[in-house]
Amino acid sequence: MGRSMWKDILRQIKNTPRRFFAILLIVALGAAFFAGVKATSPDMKLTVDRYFDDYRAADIRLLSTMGFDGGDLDAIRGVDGIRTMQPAYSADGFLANGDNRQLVNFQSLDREAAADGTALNAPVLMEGRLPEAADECLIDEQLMTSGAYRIGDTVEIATEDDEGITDSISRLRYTIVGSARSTYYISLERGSSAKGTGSVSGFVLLPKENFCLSVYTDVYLTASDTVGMSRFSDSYSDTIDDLCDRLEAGGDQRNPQRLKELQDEADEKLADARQQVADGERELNENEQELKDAWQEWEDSRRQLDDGQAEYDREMANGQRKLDDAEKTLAAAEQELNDKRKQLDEGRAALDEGLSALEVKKQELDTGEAGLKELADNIAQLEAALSLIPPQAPQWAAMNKQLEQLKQTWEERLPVWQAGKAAYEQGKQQLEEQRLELDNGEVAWQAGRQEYETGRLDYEENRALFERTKKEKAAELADARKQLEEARVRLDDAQAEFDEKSADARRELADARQEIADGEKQRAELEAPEWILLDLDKNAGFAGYQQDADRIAAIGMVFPLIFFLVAALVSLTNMTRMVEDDRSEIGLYKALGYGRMAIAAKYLIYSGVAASVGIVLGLIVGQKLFPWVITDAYGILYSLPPALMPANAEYSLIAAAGSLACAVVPAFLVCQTELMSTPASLMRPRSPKEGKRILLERITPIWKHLNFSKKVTCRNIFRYKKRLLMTIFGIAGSTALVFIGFGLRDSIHSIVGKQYDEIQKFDMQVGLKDGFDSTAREELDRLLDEREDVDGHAYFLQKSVDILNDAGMKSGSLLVPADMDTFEQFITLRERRGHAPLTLKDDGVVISEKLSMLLDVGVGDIVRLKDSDNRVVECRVDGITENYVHHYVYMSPALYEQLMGAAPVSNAVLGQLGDTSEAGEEALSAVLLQQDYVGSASFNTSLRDNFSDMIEALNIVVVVLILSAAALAFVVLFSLTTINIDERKRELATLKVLGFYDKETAMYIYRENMILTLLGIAAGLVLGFFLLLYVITTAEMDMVMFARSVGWTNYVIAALITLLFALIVNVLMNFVIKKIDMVESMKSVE
Amino acid sequence: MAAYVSLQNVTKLYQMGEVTVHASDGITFDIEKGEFAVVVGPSGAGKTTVLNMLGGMDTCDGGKILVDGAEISAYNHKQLTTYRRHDIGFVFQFYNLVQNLTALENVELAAQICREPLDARQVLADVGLQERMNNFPAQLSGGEQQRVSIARALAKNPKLLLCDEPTGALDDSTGRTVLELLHRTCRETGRTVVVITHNQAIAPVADRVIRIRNGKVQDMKVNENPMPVERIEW
Repeated sequence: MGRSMWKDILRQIKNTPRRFFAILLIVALGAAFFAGVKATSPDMKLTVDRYFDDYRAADIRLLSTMGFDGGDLDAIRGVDGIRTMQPAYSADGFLANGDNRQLVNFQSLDREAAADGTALNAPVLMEGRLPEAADECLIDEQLMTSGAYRIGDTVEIATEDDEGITDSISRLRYTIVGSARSTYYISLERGSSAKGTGSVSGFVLLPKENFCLSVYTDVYLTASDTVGMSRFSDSYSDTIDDLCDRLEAGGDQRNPQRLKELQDEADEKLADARQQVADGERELNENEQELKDAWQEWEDSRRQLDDGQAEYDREMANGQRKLDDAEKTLAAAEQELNDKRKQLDEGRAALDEGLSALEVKKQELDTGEAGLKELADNIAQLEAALSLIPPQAPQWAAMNKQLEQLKQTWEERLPVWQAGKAAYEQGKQQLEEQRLELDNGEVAWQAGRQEYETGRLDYEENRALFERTKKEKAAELADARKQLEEARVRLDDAQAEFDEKSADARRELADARQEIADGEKQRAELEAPEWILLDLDKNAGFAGYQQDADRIAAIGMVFPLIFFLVAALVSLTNMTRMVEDDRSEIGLYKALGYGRMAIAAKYLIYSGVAASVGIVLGLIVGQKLFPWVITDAYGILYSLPPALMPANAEYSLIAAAGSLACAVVPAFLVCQTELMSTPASLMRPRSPKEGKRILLERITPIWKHLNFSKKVTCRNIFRYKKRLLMTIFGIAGSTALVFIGFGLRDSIHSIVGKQYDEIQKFDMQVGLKDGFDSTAREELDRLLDEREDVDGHAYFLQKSVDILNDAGMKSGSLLVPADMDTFEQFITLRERRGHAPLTLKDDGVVISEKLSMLLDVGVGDIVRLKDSDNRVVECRVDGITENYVHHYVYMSPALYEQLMGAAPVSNAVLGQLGDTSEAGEEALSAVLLQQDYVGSASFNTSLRDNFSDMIEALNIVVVVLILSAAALAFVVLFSLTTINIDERKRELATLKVLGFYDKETAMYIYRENMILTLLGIAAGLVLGFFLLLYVITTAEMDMVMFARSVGWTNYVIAALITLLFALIVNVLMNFVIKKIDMVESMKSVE
Repeated sequence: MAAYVSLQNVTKLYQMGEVTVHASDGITFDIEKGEFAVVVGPSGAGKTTVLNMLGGMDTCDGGKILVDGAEISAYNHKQLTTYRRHDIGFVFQFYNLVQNLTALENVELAAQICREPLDARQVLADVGLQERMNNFPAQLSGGEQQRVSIARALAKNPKLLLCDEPTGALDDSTGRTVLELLHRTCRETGRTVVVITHNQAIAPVADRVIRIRNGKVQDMKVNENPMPVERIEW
């Protein structure tokens, strides 16, 4: 090829910029869309996969109903295919910073492992640093962005209403040193908890040493066989599934053993506790007995003392009496002695008188002696007799009188002497006797006195002894009394102390016994622990992300095709036009002797250059822009590192090859006819393309009503079939793009209302714990009835079941209403098409629509249900109900009883709420979760929110689609109009000369554009309908059914938007039409 | 009183890069109503420029153009369009028929936009094409196409029939027929016809011959005894 040929090509490009750029742009669009949208899904996946690699995301998180002890860890370690294992702790609790209090998930952080990069699910530090001391913590970036925390803040773990947290975490105060993300939470979802409102706000990483649990709560694992595999690949899933199977087998082996250990441990503890209680009881009894004995002893002592006192009193009284008696006797004796003394003294005096009288008488008597002698004899005799008788004796006086008489007589008989002598003698005698007597009396008195004195001494001695004894004994008694008193005080104290202590002890014992009873119950209820395997598919964030990426991939499947086809058509029409323009030139080249290939090369190079530039532009922009825009959109939903957008060689090559082919092949094809013609015929102006009657003209009534512009329009439309095809296809593609964008959004959006307003009419789902009895039910009924924000509630049995038939197995929920009458108030069963209501009969189940599709079952078919106890029952499908989220099997209680052999036991309550605000639901949730029998409370509002987030992200996708559609429509209409104008310049100039106004001239072209646009839109809506169906079914996940039909507004919007694009292009082209010079009409036909 | 068509010192400049070309350098001539005028000159003399300005397809840079008392040189874009629409019938060298319309439809295309159109069929019959009314241009010969073109111009019932080299693309006899038609039209309907041509041979049939050279009127001559078309030598 010569230089002039190259010049020719360059000038061609310069002279036909619109044509060149039309090809360039459509090729760029095709390449950009193909490589870009195709690359987005792999880029999204690669971004997360690398992110997970970098932070060593665990492949599997293992939970256990009983935690993991050393034996469990050994058992896990023993499973094949594990690369690394990292046991960890976690606990839900409340994080407080001032008044702010949030429910968070505390997770253990192995500081060393985190620092040296060996930790699994390593924290992705966003701000600050890793904890370096035990009292430092990292908090979730999501918590940080709430604004309630700053680095350097001291936060506390609140124990109010949550004392149990101290069983898990020992330290309660921490300093925030940084914020982090976690690969475990790539979405905004942070899981749920049994505490508080149940909605966890974020995670907090605490140094591991602060956890004081005896068993690990979590074990994170990475698999050894997945190295190098993308986490989104099937091989990864298969490998992890295999590992999960092995882990499950390991668990099945280990867990009964662990149960045995737990039982033994419990038994041991119970035995210890029982022993302690017994010891305590014995001690208590011993103490009580001791105290009782002490009291007894004291009582005895007191009695002894009382006895002693009585004896003492008696003895003292006795002694006193004896002393008194002795004193009285002594006094009497003294009296007698004194009397005798007096007598003696008187006797002595009388004697002395008598003696003196006698002396006198003696003299007288001496003279009368003889006469008296005889008489004296008689008297002597008588006196002798008288002396024998005691003077007291009565006879004594008588005898004495006789004596006197005798004496008298004697005297009478004898003279006075005698009488005197006798009297004398007698007196003398008498005196003598009296003296004797007195002497005797004196002696006796003296003896008596002696005796008295002795007695008196004795008495005195006795008395002193008595007094001393009395005093001594009294003192002794007082002493004893005092001691007794003291003993009593001591005993009282002891008693009081004992009473107090024994009450405590008894309470403690009662508690201990209760504990034992509880422990025994627990021991009896111990079940084998169960391992819960959470692989990435069960990670809500990851699974959601995967679905989103797949959804983009599905879109990427469809649209590039449209773009390529349109690109081929655009290239075809443009090159056709160009070759036609160059007709005579081709003839010239031929005449000059250029070879066919050399001539064709011009067109191939022209289109090739346009395509190549377009491809480069498209690949650069597309592979950066689309993943960027889309991942940015999904950035709302996921916290991820910046998207990785490596140039994807595979897609780039496909896109480049496809685009180039689309541009160059049509160019090659269109110049074939010209190349085959002879130079001569080429040099002649080509006869204008014949006007033709079209089918429409045969329908005279319509044709007659058209004016000429319209007739021309109609004829033109059918005159250029390639252009017709290109335009309709391009506009259809554009419309379909817009329609799919809106439709996808709407099909997701519309199921929200359908699912949560029309089908699941309840707002709240409360899970009840095992052992929910009639008492609890009454309580719950009362609680819910009294609350004004709860409009109604009903009981259900909800069970996870696997539904299976020959086509496969799907997991879903079995719902059995407790009350068939109120059932319809909470759940609508109806067919999707026509909304014919379905009723729950006793001979079959109603299943949700998506389930029926997946299992390919219809009414009358049999499905098997397998519950968690591996019981399998067969039932007939009686109806297929409209449902969009999750799989459900509805069964009547009677059928349940018939199949399962037991009446259904309700374990869930569905409620309708009057207040579905977040605050209202949180308040209700908090109240419900406080009830012992309530296990969980969830609200449909949050499920709705999930969809809202999804729709928000899709809005960006819609914008991308609309912009792409706009570009597509623009290129297509621009090309069409440009060609139309180029080709009809003469015609337009003629019309102008004929006096057509600018508007009329423009309409001459636009009418055609508009009709083609409308046809394209109509085709696009049809195409869009089917493509949307494809995208929806490809993009939707198993558990969800997007709406199969979308609202008519989507059709209208898609049509209007495309129409708007067309209008914009027409307005732009209006300037070109205006510029057409009427001089064109003078020129000769080319 | 001014003539029916009057050009007074009309100038038109074209800027071709550095060079300014005086396509029309003070042209002045008059044409009376009902005259068959021929503007003749060699290629590049400025005849087409004159025709464009007279036909309202281009504006002049200086001087005045009056048609039936209206100063069209002062018209704006819109007024010029209206002027073309109602007052001018144009016959092109290359016929410029809309390929997608039949002969009748091509005539009607023009007729439908003006105020007092003639009956399209009648006009076509008048140009001798009643048999070919429903043929597409591609099915017609050059002369027939030019007759359709004339019929299209006439159907508008214009004040002025402007013809740009109407015989230029036709062979002798066909050209003669077309010229004959134009001449007859002028005579029978009293319409003013201006024919532009480089062909000196046509001049003798005209009532008025205006010779143009280098953008100037070289010579204007009223032919008291125009020659019949059949007698001219081609």
